[in-house]
Amino acid sequence: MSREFNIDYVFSFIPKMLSYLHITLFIVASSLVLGLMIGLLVALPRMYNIPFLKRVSQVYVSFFRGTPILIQLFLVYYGLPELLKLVDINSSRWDVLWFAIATYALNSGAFISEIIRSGVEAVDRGQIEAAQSVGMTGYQTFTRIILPQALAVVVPVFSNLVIGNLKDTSLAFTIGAMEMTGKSQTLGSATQHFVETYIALSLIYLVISLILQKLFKVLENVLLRHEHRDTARKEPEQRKGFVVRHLRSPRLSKGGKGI
Amino acid sequence: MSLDFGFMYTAFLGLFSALPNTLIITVVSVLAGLVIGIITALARIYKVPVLSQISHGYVTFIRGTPMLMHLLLIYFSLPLLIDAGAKHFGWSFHSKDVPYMVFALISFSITSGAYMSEVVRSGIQSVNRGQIEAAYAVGMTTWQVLRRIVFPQAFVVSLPNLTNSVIGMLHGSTLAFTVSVTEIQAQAEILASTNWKYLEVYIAAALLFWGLTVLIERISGLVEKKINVFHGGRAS
Repeated sequence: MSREFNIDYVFSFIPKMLSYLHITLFIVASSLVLGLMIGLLVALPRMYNIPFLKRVSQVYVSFFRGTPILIQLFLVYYGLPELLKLVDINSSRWDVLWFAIATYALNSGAFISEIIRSGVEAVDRGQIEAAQSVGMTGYQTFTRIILPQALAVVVPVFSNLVIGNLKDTSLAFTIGAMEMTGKSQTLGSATQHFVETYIALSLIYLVISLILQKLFKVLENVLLRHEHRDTARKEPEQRKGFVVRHLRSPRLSKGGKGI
Repeated sequence: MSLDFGFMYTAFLGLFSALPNTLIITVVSVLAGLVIGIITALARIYKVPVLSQISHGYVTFIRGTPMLMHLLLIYFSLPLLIDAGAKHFGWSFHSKDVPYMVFALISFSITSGAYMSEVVRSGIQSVNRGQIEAAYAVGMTTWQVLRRIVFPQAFVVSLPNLTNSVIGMLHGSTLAFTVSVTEIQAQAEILASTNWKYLEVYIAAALLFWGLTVLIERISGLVEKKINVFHGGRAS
């Protein structure tokens, strides 16, 4: 603690931590892919109003949005091996990383299920009726009409979720996962230059967040081409109200995701 | 898989001793965050030179980095600053006199401020321009317009987002255990390691947080009902 602040450390730490970036991104990507599957499975019973399963989905979503991710990490870390023992799988030799991924997948699944639901609900009923009236099958209606419009609506929310997930991965070190933050802990302890360590790490997180934001912005504009085909490019707030109206759906960001 | 439900109940009760700390962190960071949020949001809306650029940079940085980073940065850099100041000005107090809780409160307020800034900004921007013009037309001052017209309507619109931010801060308060503040997460770790029953304790902690979250959502729902009695608070 008594050491002088030295900016050179920041620059020398950045490449060292970047060498662990792929692990952080791997956690984010794999938990999103798994989360999408879980989210779809969880959203279906509620969209099709299946008795009992609907309740299970509700409780699942409420739990994962109503508890801190840190507690979830420890729950999975200590609870999953017990569950796996029931089916005779010994997980004691597994890499901690998998437990971290499982946690973030379960957590994202809850949020993604809500995103899927609100995206599908956001599509105007008339659109679906119009599609059916020109003779499209249910599958065609979904892939050509519902999905593109639902995607456009949920991109900004999804973007928040991905960035929230990226930020959440910084907690994986608490169960011993070696990603960027885990690496920063060892760097900090070894050099005793904690301030420089965390400045370097914050900068890396900031740059990745900004890049992700930009990418999603581009994606949103691509998906919204039809919204302003004949008008000059406007700010999303001023678009025809179609997207903005649904973005105010408070259900989406519930559970304090992304802090 | 043998869960000791008796112990889970004991653990649940044991966690309550740390509840005040969790609530203090949440309430203080939300209130301080609101103050910071209102100031930065107004600076950005009214395009105050310098202040609005600083606000924008602050919000971007905080929202683009994990809350844990803010906490660790404050926790490690403030003592350096305090001690440097003490050396320079000959203060009698040093960084070791500052309780850990203070670092947590400062850092979480900074975190919360950036999120609140966005909540406040979107709330204010949703207020109809015509409302503001009408208020000016009847001769109100800018402060009166904000207090009587803009804030009440913005509050109605922002309530769901505000609730989410409060819940986010409640969940974020668990990070304070990394700087040795005994809140629910830290208490859970203590209980778990002394009794050698990890899973039960974390289930109890999860249930406690779940209950708190549902409670916050309920309260928010009641407030929303109360506000909507007037039907006039629709800002769109």
